[in-house]
Amino acid sequence: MTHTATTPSLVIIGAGPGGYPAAYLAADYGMEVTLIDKDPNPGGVCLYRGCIPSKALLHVSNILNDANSASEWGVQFDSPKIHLPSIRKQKDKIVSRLTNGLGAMAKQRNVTFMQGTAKFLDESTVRVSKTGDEPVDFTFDYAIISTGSHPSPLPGLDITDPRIMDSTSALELDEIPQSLLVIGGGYIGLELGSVYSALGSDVTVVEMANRLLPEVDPDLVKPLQSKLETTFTSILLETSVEDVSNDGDRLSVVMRSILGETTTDSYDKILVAVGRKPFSADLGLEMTNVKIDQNGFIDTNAQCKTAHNNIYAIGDVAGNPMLAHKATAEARIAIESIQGMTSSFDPAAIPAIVFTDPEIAWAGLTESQAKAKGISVETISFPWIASGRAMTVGHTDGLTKLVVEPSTQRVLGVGVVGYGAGELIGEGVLAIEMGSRVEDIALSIHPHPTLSETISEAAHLFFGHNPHYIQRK
Amino acid sequence: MATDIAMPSLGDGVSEADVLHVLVEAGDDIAKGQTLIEVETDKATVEVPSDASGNVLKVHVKPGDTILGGNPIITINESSSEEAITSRSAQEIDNNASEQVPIDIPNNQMGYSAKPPINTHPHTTVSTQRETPVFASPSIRKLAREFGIDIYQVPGTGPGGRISENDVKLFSRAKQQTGRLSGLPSLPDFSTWGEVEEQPLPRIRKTIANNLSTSWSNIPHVTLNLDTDITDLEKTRQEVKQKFQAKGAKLTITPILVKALADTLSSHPRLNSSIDIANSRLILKKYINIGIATDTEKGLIVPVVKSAADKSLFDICVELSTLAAEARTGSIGPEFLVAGTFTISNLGGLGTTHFTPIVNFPEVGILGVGRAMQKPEYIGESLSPRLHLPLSLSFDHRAVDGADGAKFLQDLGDTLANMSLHLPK
Ligand SMILES: Cc1cc2nc3c(=O)[nH]c(=O)nc-3n(C[C@H](O)[C@H](O)[C@H](O)COP(=O)(O)OP(=O)(O)OC[C@H]3O[C@@H](n4cnc5c(N)ncnc54)[C@H](O)[C@@H]3O)c2cc1C
Repeated sequence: MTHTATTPSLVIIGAGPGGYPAAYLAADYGMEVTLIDKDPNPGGVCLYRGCIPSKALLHVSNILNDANSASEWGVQFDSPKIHLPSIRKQKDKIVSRLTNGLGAMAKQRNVTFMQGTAKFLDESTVRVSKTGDEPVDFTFDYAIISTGSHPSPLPGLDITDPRIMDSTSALELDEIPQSLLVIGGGYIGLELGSVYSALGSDVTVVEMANRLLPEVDPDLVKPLQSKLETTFTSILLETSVEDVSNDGDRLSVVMRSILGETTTDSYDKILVAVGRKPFSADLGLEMTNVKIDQNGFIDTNAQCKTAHNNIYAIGDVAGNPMLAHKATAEARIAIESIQGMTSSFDPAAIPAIVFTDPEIAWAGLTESQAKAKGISVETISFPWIASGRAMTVGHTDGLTKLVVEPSTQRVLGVGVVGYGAGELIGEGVLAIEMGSRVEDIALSIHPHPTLSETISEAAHLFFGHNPHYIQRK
Repeated sequence: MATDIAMPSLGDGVSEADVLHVLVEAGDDIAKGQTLIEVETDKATVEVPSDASGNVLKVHVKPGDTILGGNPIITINESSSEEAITSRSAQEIDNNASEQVPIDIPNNQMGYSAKPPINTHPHTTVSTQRETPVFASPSIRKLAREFGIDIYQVPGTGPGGRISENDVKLFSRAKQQTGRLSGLPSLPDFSTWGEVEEQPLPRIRKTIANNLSTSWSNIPHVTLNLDTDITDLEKTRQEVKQKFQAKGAKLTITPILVKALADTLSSHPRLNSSIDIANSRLILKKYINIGIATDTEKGLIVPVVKSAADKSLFDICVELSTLAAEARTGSIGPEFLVAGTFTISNLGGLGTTHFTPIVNFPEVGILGVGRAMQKPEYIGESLSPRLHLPLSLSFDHRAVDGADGAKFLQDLGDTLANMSLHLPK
């Protein structure tokens, strides 16, 4: 296939939250766009087997948890009846509604969507193969690589067994195992562990580091960890999985603690959630000048351009943080750069959320990062035990924290743990990006009674005069 | 109370600065933090703010002065509320200034790395590290990018040192002005002495002016002169001229020069290089592309014969005629005006003899050619008339030593004198 000489052609490999927004924006700018993905519609990991299905299932676990704690409020529900096929159907309905919508959007914008696996043949040609079809070659003026990432396998684990799941198969929700071992205490492990736990599994989490969510400030993890210690069967820290073997109906797992003690336990199923790896192999990148680093991420500059002049890379494949909104933000930078605009990826804050109960959300500089980099900061935390709203929704296990630059008093970071923290962090991002000072937040009137007030309460506390921290009116 | 406000220390390795602008005058009321003067060091242009408020009694400097750290800039009558803190000695200011950590900013065109403006204003911020984001909102950062400004250099005047839209605009304007004015004294009003006519500079003239300034101010030039005997060459040229003509090629001295120069450059790679001081390297080019300075109605342009060493004399003749014609009509494509590695400037047609051509930056050498002249010369015992071509080689002395330049010129002269002019079969 060739393209006309006048409109520049763009080929995008991978239609996740990096690829599809890039395609649609480029089409709006009048480029001739081909969007390629292995899946039948745009959406990528995020819509098919990531953010969206996981959040749909977490909604189910929230309903269950709320029903469970309703007795405190004098409302007693019978124990819930869980109909797994209906949960799956509801989740799949959401996924297909969203992905079909994106497919329709591609047509409306005259973006050519091709299902298949793409590979560079040379620096201006991409070949798309689909089993059963003849491969199709596309020449391009520009290409964007947005192939995302895939779950990392557990190093050293050499058995393959359908009972050993990754996040993709765990989201299929084939059954609720009696017992589940989650290997990895990162956000994906904890979110999916919470789903299975709420649906009735006995969940054990094993993590090599000395705490859950090692990249999050410890004071924000603490309320979550306390909660999970009651809902999960056990949380094994500083422990690694040595071996997994088939033990008849169950899987036998040998674990070793940091002190060298080994224990063997058996589980019905295992979820491996030890991180994600960029999708940069088998793309034919050796036919181009695109460079990858030792972790497989594609090297890009602030314009999202690779070492090859007309090839860009965005999203998970282009580096951390591997988050959908980072991919989408980079999509805009890449397209604007191709359009010759002076765009640059220079965020002051990329928010991240762990959708557990309670949720954890943070943006900008964390206290731990500041320590590690030797940046002097002041922090101020407002505990939700002093928030009226937190009490009225029965979730006082929370904390809102500001990380402040002392010389300017501007907010460099915001962290929140608590019910609905994810919905609060947007304000933190805006505060950081706009260079808001603590006083700006204190002087901005927040609505009462809401959880968003905890942000202005923290700001008032920074100046030492908060009416609510000691006693509440 | 009368107090002197002194020039702060300029930081590492910088001992003096030139005063570009003086922004206050006697009688002005100035506020702490207000810019007093703008100075230029050999590293950067720097605004010097006042560290006190008050009324200016005397200004001690004027544009063009050279000023050292500790020299008084102005004397003010201090506002009393500031008294306690403003009687800081130059030494204290010095200490503050040296706490400023230089940040990396993109190299300017000249290849020198600049330092950030010295910032003694307590309410302005120059971020000293990029671990923390710059204190400006996304739209302001975008604005700075559009102006081509490194926002980390912009002093913020908002609360806490936040950078506003106005800060970016002022910074950009100041940068443009100092760029435009740096070092150039303003001109007197010539019309007071008689009638004048003003002509706006066309773009090509501005480009020429910029390029030549860049060359002249950055390249330490050396020019070597040589007369080479082209009596035999000229004789052969007259003999074969017709044959070239018959095939549609005009065999003048220029294509012969291009060919001889390209061949000589093949064995003198240093003369076919560029020197990159900022990155401490010499870049040797494996291709030889000869530019020919060409006078056109609009001004000087330099069409380039690519891969000249690989081309036959005949091909060069043909190519040159086309390039010259297109250059004169202005129809020449931009791709024929780039990638030169060495330039020839032939003023022979206008009667000049030796001259000092200016190297075409970022090349390292240029050959000036004058008018060939008959001169009496002793061959053995007897005088005979010989035709001499004046050659002038200017080169970048940073890249090429005098002896190497001389050997090159000698080789070039010999190559030229012994060129065989033959047509392709
Ligand atoms: C369980 C789970 C939960 C998550 N939850 C969140 C969350 O709550 N919030 C959040 O921000 N992020 C979340 N993420 C991460 C998020 O999904 C990713 O950051 C995001 O999808 C990255 O987008 P992308 O465009 O870079 O790539 P992807 O979404 O990975 O899309 C890449 C696409 O490229 C396709 N592809 C790869 N190679 C080729 C090829 N050669 N030819 C054709 N197509 C190819 C893939 O099939 C895929 O469809 C979650 C991830 C998982 C696994």
